[in-house]
Order: sequence, then structure tokens, then C-alpha cells
Amino acid sequence: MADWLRVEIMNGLMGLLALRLENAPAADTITKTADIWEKALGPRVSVEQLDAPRIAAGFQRIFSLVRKWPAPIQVIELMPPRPRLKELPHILTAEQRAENKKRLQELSRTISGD
Amino acid sequence: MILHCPCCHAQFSVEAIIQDEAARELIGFKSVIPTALWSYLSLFRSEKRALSWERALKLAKEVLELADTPSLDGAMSETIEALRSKGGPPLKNHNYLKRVLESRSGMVETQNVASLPASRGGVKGTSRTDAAMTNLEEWARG
Repeated sequence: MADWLRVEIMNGLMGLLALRLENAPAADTITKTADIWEKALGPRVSVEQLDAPRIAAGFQRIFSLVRKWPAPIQVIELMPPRPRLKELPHILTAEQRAENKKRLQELSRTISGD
Repeated sequence: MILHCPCCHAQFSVEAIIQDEAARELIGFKSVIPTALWSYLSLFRSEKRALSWERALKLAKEVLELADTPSLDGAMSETIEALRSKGGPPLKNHNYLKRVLESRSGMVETQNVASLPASRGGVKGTSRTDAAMTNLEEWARG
């Protein structure tokens, strides 16, 4: 698994440990907990530049929301979506517009049974 | 703790009096006796009978011998909060308060150890949180 993912999980779990939450894992089991977080987050993230900030933001949001040690899904649900790629402007030609309008009219006639 | 007015024979709570800062200072409770003592003593009162002054004095003397005033104040507040939320019969001794005092002194020791500058790195005496963080660092390094 990627090193950057482990670093993000480490940073997040350290923050949670510092909060001394109820049900926090013990020192000797924290690495097992981290393994599970890695398995839970791993399939949902793949690109460091896009996903590392999302994981950090998910942890950042959960710090102020929990009193008990959270499950990975709680962080996953708080992760923002990936930034949208810039889309090309979608311009229809006059012919395409006319064609679409005609198709809609046909559909409308079919539905009304004329 | 319920008081009886010797003049009008009305009953009222001592907690109601010490709500007022000036009254508390005037009576001299603040500097001598932990503020939480009055509420703590009420844990010994049965539902049907008021706590006698003799018993209250005996209990207060016992409590004041357990620890210093700041420690007692915090521990008694914690005891009152815990026992009131739990409910149950009146207290018969200070065993619960003693356990709270012990746990609080343990927490202070842990905090003192955690605040030492060279406490990270699995050195003997580190806090459990610190040890967990060290283990996490090693995990992230692979």
C-alpha cells in the first residue's frame, strides 16, 4: 500500500489519540487498528495529489464531532469529493438543437397517444 | 445539606446560601472548606431524615484529613456528579471519594510524565498515548 496513505492515516489517528477519546485503542493494538483503516480507505483512494488532502480534511472534520473513537466509515463520509476536472464548454449547433426539439415533440406525441 | 433557621424554623439548603459569592466569602467557607463539601455531605443524608450537625461535623473532619483542599474540591465534585447520576442509597463512608482521589492522583502523574520533553520514543515512563503515537510512527515508516 502507498506510503502517503500510511502517513495520512498516521496523522489522523495521532490527532484522534491526542483527543483521548472513549474506546480509543491501546498502544499495543494501535498498529492493528491502523491496518484496518488502511484496508478501509485503500480502495477509495488512489492518487496522492487528489486524495491525500481529502483524507486530511476528513480527519480534520471529525476531530470536532466525536466523543468516542470513530469507525473508518465516519471519516470516509466526511471526506470531500475529488475536485472536478475542468469541463469543455458544451455548445450545441443549430442543427442539433432542431433535431433534439423534433425528438422531444415525437416523444410527447407518443406519450399523449396522438 | 438542609439547615433549620433558629428564628423562623424555616428549612433551607446551605447550597442556596453559598451560591452567592459574597455570602460565601462572608461565612468564610471559601478559604477554609472546599466548596463542594456541602453537596458532598448531602450524599450522606437519607431521604426521610436531615443530616445531624454532629454527623456532618464528623464527616467533614474525616474528609478534610483525606487530602488538600484543591484536590478534595475536584474529587468531591466528580464523586457528586457520578453518584447523583447513578442514584442509589445514601453513602455510609468515604470509600468512593478515596477511589476518585486515587484515580485523579494517577492522572496527574501520567500528565506530568507526558509533559517531559524527552518522553517520546518508547522510553520507560512514557504515557500510553505517547507510546501509541510512537507505534503509529513506526507503522507509517513500514
